[in-house]
Amino acid sequence: MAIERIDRDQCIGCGICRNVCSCDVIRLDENSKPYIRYQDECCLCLYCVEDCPVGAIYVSPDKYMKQLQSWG
Amino acid sequence: MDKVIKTDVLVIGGGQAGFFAALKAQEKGAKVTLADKGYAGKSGQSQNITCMIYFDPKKNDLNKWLEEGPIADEYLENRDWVEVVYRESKDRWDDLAKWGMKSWRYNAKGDAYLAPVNGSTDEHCPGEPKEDIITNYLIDNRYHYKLRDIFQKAGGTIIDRVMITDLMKQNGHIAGAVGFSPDHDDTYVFQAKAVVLAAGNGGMKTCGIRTNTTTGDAQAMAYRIGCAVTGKEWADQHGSRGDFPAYPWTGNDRNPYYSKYEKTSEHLFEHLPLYNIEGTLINSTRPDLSKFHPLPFNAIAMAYEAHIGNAPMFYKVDGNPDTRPMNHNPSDKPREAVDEIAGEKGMVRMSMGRALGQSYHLSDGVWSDGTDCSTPVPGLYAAGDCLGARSGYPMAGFAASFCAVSGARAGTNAAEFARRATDFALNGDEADRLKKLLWAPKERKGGFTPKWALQVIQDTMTPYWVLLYKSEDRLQAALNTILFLRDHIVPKLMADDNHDLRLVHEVGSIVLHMEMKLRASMFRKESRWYHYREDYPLRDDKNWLCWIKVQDVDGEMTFIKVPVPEKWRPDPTESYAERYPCAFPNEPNVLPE
Repeated sequence: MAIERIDRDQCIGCGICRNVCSCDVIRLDENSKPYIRYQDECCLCLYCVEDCPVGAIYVSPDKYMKQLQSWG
Repeated sequence: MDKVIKTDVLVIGGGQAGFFAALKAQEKGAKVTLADKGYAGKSGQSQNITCMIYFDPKKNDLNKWLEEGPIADEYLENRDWVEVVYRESKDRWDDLAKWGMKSWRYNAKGDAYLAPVNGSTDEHCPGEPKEDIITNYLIDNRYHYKLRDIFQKAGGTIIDRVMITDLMKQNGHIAGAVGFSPDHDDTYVFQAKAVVLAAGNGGMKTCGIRTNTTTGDAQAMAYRIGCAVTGKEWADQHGSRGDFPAYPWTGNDRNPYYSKYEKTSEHLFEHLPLYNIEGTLINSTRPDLSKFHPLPFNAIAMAYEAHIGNAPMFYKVDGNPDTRPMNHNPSDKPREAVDEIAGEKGMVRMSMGRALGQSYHLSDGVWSDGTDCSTPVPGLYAAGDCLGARSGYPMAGFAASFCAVSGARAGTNAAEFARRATDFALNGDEADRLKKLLWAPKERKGGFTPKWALQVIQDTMTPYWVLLYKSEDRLQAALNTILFLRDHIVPKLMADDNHDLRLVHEVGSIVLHMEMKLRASMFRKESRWYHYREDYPLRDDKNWLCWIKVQDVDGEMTFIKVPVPEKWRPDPTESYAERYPCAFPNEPNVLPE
């Protein structure tokens, strides 16, 4: 669903994906490597895919939103 | 801890309008700070800019272009703004050329390449040989990155990842703003002599559109300190491909960045004939649409088709180059190429509802009396999609130019205001009050999550019968839910971390925005342009050649009619069908007066 994978071997740790993520889905870990923190908020804008200099990010065209049926 | 930032001009929002405001205020000698809740230069709807159109007064006939506009959004266009954009868009284009922007070109083999923009009028997209056509460029939508560097090198300050939640007023004029970061717990307190709001229009994060940052925050802040907003009754909607309903419009189908996503992009299909389940063509039943933007009428027609049981709708992929009723851009891909990308011939199912919750570009936003981007709060300006230009169609396609032109005006005027303003000390009490409101959701021990509240909002507002196919009872039903959210849920939203805190404040803005949309839709008791009422299906020129202004009056959301000037109204001697050649669903061609 939505953003699925950031290939950590390919990733050069530039942090661009964290910056360009419009929904604050991607965060950086203590080694400044990105990880997917809030996956279900990905709006498939593809900005991270467009701007990743090494093509390390995969976003799927499928998105299934979690139904939050119980309130709270 | 507080981070206190003192500046002459604070610009909120780092897209097209925000950067033009910041750079122009800076040119005027102001100390400028630009804040964005995301990353300035990669923010809001500006990243969806692909085409930018400018009007060249030396080449294009101003009077001819001005004459063609008003019928398209059914006499509610603010023609003053249209004229300003026509007169100034070329200058803003030349600014971009000076700043090193590039645009896409195609060589003889059809391969795309990026070339610098030099402003000469002999450059244009392929396939635009028409006489007097306005120059339409396919621009590199990464150019805002470049604007960051230009702004910062000239001494400008960019504050990324800071969401501003409220504006501060002091002694009757603007004084600053407060905000927070998703990354730490410091509060940002901005002291500014002038503020430019350039943070877009309002939406509700519907899937399938890349604008999940435009949640109406800036409009809500302006409303809370006494500004009016306008245009809330107008809808907006796009479809998406049925097998990938959440996949977004990936921009212009000629932009090579997006070529690998084309197959899933609705934009590719938007130009194909659209059929209902009965096989009836539904988007070519209008008269010559070349002068009109067909989107509102098609969207309402689709909602009607769904209502009478003819959903889903299908795009027909048949390779027939003669059937392109929605093609309004001469440089779009040839029909055969579209079919090839679509893959298989046949019918492609579409889904609807993307973008619902927004108003059509430039039709809504903070009210400004003239064309100087000012608001009733001295020192506060609005620009771009955040500014209610009260115009839809004539500026569709000009949206990027409008953001540039209005941004430049707002920035210039804000710098001038700041230059004349006297120094002042910020009132700490007001800042403390707003800081408490800002952090309150993190202090709550119990309550509701913003994700759940957002889901209730979307479930309430997205069905076609609320914002596209309206009636009093259905609007009231939706409003009851929104008011319950406003009174009982929003005050109890809680946040575990600062990411959720952003969502909480966004939900607050969205609920306010939806209340305005529903109430404005109930207030306009007629149908016009992108507002269709099943219970008032005709235009009512006698009562409704008016804009609607929404304002807080003594704590009450109040709706005020502002008549369209006489000179812009339709010729009363023309028949209804002549005044309104675009038909709503089921509307007879000729109607009695």
